[in-house]
Amino acid sequence: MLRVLTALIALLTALPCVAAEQRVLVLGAIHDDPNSKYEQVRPIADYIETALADSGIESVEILIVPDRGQMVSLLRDGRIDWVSETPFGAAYLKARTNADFLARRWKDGAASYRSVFFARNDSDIESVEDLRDKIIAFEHRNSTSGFFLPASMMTERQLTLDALGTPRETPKAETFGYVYSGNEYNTAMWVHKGIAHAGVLSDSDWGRDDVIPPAFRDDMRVFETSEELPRAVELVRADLDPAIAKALRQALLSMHESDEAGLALATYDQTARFDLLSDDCIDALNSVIAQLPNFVQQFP
Amino acid sequence: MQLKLTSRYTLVMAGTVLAIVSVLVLLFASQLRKSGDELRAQSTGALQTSLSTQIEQRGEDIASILAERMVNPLYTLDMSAMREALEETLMIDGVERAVIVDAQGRIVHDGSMQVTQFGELLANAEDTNSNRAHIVVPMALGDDPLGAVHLDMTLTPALREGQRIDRQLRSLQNDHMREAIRDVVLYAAALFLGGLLLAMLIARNFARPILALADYARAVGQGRSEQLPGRERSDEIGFLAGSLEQMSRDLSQTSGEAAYLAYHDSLTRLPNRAHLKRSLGQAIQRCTTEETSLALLFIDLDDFKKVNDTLGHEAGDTFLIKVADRLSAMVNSWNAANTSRASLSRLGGDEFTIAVTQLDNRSQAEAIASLVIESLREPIAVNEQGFKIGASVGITVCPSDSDDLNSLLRYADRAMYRAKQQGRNTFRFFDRARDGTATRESSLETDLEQVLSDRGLTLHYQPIVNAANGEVVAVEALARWHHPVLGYVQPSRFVQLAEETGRIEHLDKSVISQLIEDMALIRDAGFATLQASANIASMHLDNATLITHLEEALGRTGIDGNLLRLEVREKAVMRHLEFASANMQRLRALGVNIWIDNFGTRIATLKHIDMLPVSGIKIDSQFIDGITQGNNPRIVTQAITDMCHNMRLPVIAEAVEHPEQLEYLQSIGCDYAQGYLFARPMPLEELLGYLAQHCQRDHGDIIVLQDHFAK
Repeated sequence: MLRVLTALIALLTALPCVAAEQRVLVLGAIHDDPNSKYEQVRPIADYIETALADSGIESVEILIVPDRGQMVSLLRDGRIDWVSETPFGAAYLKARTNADFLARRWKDGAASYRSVFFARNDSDIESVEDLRDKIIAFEHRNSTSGFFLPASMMTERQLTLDALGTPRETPKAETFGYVYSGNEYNTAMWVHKGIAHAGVLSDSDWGRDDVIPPAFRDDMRVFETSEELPRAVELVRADLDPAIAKALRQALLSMHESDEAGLALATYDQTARFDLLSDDCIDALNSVIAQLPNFVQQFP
Repeated sequence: MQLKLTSRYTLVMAGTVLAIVSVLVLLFASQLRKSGDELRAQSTGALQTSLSTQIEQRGEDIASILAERMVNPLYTLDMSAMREALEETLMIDGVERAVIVDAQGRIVHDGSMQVTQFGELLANAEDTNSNRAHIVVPMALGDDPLGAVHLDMTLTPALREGQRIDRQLRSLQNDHMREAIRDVVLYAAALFLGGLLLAMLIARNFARPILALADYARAVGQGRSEQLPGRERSDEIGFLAGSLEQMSRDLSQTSGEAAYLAYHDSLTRLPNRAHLKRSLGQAIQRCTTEETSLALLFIDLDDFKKVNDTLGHEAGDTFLIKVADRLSAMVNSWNAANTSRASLSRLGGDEFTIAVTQLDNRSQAEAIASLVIESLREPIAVNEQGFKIGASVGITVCPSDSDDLNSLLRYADRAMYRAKQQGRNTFRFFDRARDGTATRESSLETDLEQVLSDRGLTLHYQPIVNAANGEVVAVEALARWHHPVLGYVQPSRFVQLAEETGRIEHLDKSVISQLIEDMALIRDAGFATLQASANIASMHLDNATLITHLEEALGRTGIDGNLLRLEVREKAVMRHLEFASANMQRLRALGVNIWIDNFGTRIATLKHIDMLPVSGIKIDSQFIDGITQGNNPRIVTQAITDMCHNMRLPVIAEAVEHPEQLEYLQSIGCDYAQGYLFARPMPLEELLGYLAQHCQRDHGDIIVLQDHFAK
């Protein structure tokens, strides 16, 4: 906490110098538990600090904010230089701040991921359309795979979604009820125990035994999947010095080859490596960006 | 081992005290254990309850906090939040189970990954473990019931603690018990010792007067007179002392009676020969010092044998008693009317004497003799039958005839003999000229010599029967002498005369010769196995010729020695035991049976009997007579019988005259009997007739079934 405060103080005192020569790089993150997030990102910040020493960066500071709105404003203000986000978050920040996609992060060792819709084996649900008048469990409104991707899919198909406070409620007639479970475990439990008719998880979570006990998985089946998206995306603010952005990209792309970066990568969400975003990835992200206005309208 | 009374009493008391003390100790120990157990159970229970309450309270706190935390997760069905909270709760020490249920009581989460019981009613999933406290805290959103937290707290620590405390208490209790029991045992031991001491004191207190009485009894038994202890007491000791005193009195009375019997005739209660000799001796002394005179009358009944032969011994005794009564009455009336003192004695048999002291003159003696004859002139009734007999009286006077006691007795006897000779039923004064040489004894002696030489003695035979069934097993030969003057001479008299004059061996030889000849006749008559016995008086003498004589007679007749029984008087045998024993051995070698006659009068004989080659015992007739009169003769009879049987000697009872006697003899197992009850002594011819009439004439057992035996 102390270090966060010092970072904030340092940031405030550094602001007047932004226009001149940047010596401090600020890594931002959205999280409701700054303390744990700080510990997670500190090693990579230190690594990059070292890696960018030649580029005039004297230190890499960390700034953690509770939500995307604040992130948007800090990016716009130039007070956060670099942020790592899920595809949905990345698309959102790109759309709102014109931030630049810098690289793809293999979060949790996966280059990309998709959403899987699942229901109990003994239910008669074969497609998303079968969920009319029923309830689907989404994970969290900030979750790409647990909300954005499936919700987008459903709105694209012109299905009317009805937000419910708890799974005890009943959706309006002819609508598709949904409820946020809060986490993958709840989603899996709700579907398995019949609290919700179906649920959505990322394909990687679907395969994790700590999220879905194997016995549960045997009782359930995947009936639909979404398109694939990069697992995570690194962005930098639009007005970051290109030289610094370039140096940062370069440092990230080579990290997996560096012996010193091992701990930093592992600590940072079990990141396997960073690589360049392929065109397909960029297309997919742009597709997300395209859906955003409609999506935001539907899910304010 | 025989314990003394005091020891026995002390033992019994000690045992009783020990038993009581043991029971009390056991009871105490059991009560102590019980109350200790109860107290322990209560303490442990209270502790467990207290601990359980604490645990439950803690469980309620945990459950309450959990319930408050879980309202929102339950409302939103946030399974992970519930799982996390329940996992945390289950980590708490003592929490066995934590479950969140919905408003319907269905399990929503139990803290497990899979919640396999999800949706089940908790009641169904409930287990009934009594070692748990089950706590339920309801959850509600506003007024709407939402569900509840169910928490199970283990009570095992409380139980364990209870058990631990229980063990400690038990150990304490055991220590306490041990101490208490040790104390109680000490007290009990003290009590026991005290009781023992007390018992010993009481026992000694009891025993002291008893021991004193025992000393008293011993002193009395030894003839000393002592102060009777404890007489004044009113308890049992006093009673015992009284009894002892009574017994002591009875005892002295009995010994007085014994002394009386020594000087009196048991049949007539008249003074006996010993008494006569003592009193006559004193009277003779007075005669010489006071210069008075006395007369001695010797009375012999005439024809007394007739009574005996006709009616039997017992009637004869009754007859003698009546004679004595008449003579006593006569003497009493004499004494009442005269200054001279007459005193009556019985010498034995039918012989009486009257000593008259302070005699004035001979005519007084004459008068009294006449009164004697007169008093017996009237018939005497026995068994409703009147017998008329007479008496011959001889008179001698002291000091004119002699001042010697024995001479006086002899002179009176001689005078009586002359009275008998001169017609009976009369009296004669001793006349030295007539009686001096031609004395009765010398006359009898000559006559005896004659009769032995002439074989003038006859043998009469009395059957001896098996007491159990009446079989005749033998006959006893009894010598009879019919004197031309004296008539029937008592065997005791001529046997005594023969002994005194050295003719006894001659007499025995004569009897044996006669007997063996008679036995040959009996055998020839067909009773070859009948034994015959005779009384031998000279067994104790060194008389080898008797045995030679006997041997010759047996050889001559061919009679088996086994058939011969010789009866010897106990008294004679014991007097010269060595000779008698040697003679007996020689006779036994010939097969002759030796029986002891008149047995029982000398206790000292007992120890010699089994040293002698004796075939059997004949009990003295006085005991048989006594059977109908009292217990003592019975006891003696039985004692002799038992003793002889123990020595494997058969026993004959003689003079058996009453069925009662036979019955008693049978009851004590007496082997043989003879007497008027079965048959009188009879001459040989009569005997043969008797045997022919009653017995089977064969060579086996001779059987006569008398009326007195069951057929």
